[in-house]
Amino acid sequence: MTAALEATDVTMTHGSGGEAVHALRNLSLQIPRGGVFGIIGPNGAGKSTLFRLWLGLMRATRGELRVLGAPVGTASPPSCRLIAGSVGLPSFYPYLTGEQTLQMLSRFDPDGAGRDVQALLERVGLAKAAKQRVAEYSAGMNQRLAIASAMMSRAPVVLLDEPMSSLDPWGIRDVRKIVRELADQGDTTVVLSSHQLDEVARICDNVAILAAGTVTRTASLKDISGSAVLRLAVAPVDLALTILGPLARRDSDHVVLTGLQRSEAPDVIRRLTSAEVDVFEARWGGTDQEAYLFEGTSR
Amino acid sequence: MFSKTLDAEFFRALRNRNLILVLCIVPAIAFLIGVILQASASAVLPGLARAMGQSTLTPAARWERSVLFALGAGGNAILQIFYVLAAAFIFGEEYRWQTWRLVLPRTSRSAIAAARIALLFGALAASVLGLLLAGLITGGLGALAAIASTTPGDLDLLSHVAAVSGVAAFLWLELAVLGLFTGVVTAMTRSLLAGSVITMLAVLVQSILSSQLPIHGPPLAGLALLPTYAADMGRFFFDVNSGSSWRVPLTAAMSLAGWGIVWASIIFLTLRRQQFANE
Repeated sequence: MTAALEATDVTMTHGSGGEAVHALRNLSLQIPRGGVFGIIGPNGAGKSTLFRLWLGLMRATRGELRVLGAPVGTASPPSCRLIAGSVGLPSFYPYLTGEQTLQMLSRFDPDGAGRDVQALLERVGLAKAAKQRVAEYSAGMNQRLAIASAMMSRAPVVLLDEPMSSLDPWGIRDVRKIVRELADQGDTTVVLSSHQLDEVARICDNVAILAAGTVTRTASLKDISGSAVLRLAVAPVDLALTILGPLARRDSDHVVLTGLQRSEAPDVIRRLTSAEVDVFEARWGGTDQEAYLFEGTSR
Repeated sequence: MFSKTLDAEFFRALRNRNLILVLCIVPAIAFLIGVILQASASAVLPGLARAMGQSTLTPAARWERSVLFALGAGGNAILQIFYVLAAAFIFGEEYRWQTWRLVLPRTSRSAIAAARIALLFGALAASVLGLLLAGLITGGLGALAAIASTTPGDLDLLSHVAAVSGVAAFLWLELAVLGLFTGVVTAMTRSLLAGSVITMLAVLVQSILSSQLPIHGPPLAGLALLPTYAADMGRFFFDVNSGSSWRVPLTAAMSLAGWGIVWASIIFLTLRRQQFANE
């Protein structure tokens, strides 16, 4: 089956010569159809640039991008009926009301005239502010309108760039529900970006980790959940790493163990002390998802 | 795709108060000045009106003079700043509000460029119609005031209509070229302000150069290279009905159309190539 989104060996460079900045470097990624796919990574990892390329706002310096098999960036993009979304901070025409914004956007769509704008505004919690100018909207309301405008086109692929940012806890809960419904009720693939792992973990089925403009890992959320992280303050660290093998990694003067069950901790400590490694502290902490993210981004 | 995009553009433009305001300002100014002049000529200064030969004009001729005066306001280099602003609003909104991200995934870049150009043409046509209306109303007031003292003579309505239509068409062409140039600068600089300022400077430079060129027997190079001069000469032909050769208005019209095609092509090319990393 064709992937919802594909990026093959994509490089995006801003500027040239010595001032060239590589936003994306030989990035390849396939996002399967259906469900919610999360793209996580630190600020500047290239998440928004990748979204802009898929939405046709920018053209890659090198490489190929496809939406449901259709190439992006051709003169008359066949992809523009297939993909919708928002990227960066939501921006609208300040003199239009929320309702007028959606009415205007509906005019781009072949069957947009019959779209129930009121129902959509109701769904994202903006029914009461429908007649209010967008200039008067808060950041959270703008975010909700951005989600409504992405849903407006009923595209099979919806991109949402950091949809939880600027939202209060109630807004985050609502958006999470809307995104999940969007993916579960229809044949829509939702791709969202974030640098908040817990948010991604709550609603995504699969994730890709981006760091320094390239995909470092892709995984199912199920595969990276379950156990926790054991953090040990030991000396000497190098000897401890040798004893514990591939499950362990150095974090400053600590050793961090992932993929470990709680019942295995006493045995780990016994192995270290019997090899004359001093154990000063052992602490369970964080989640292994976090460790997975940090390992993926090498930070 | 184009018709849907155009529909969306018109929907938005009709709700953009700034755009509507700048398009209405020149007709409003023409109307106000027309009313003042008609009142002065007919009531306050009847002697001056007689001295200027106004009282010998038929109502139809009076109307024509009034409409041509109103259309002249649209050709004024200073008042054209409002048309420059209108074009900057049409082509610069997406850069100003960072809304390319909103519209671009929904249609093609070519459709957006074509729709913007069509919107500009429509908006300018509406404003020129507004000028015509302002002239007709103020001319009507003057004609009614003078009707008792005027003897019917010149009833050649066809020539009046031809003169007004010719001047209006050249005004629209001039404004369209001006608007498209504003679009080019706005798109290239990605700035509404830069688009407006640079275009106004270009208009002023053209006006200064045009003033150095002759009214009668205009040089072909001047007609071809200076859109403002070409428009002036085209309007002059119909306005004064100088009886000069049709070569002048035809050359002027071809020059303006040529400039329009050049600027429109650059708008298409610019929008097709632009990377929207922030907008």
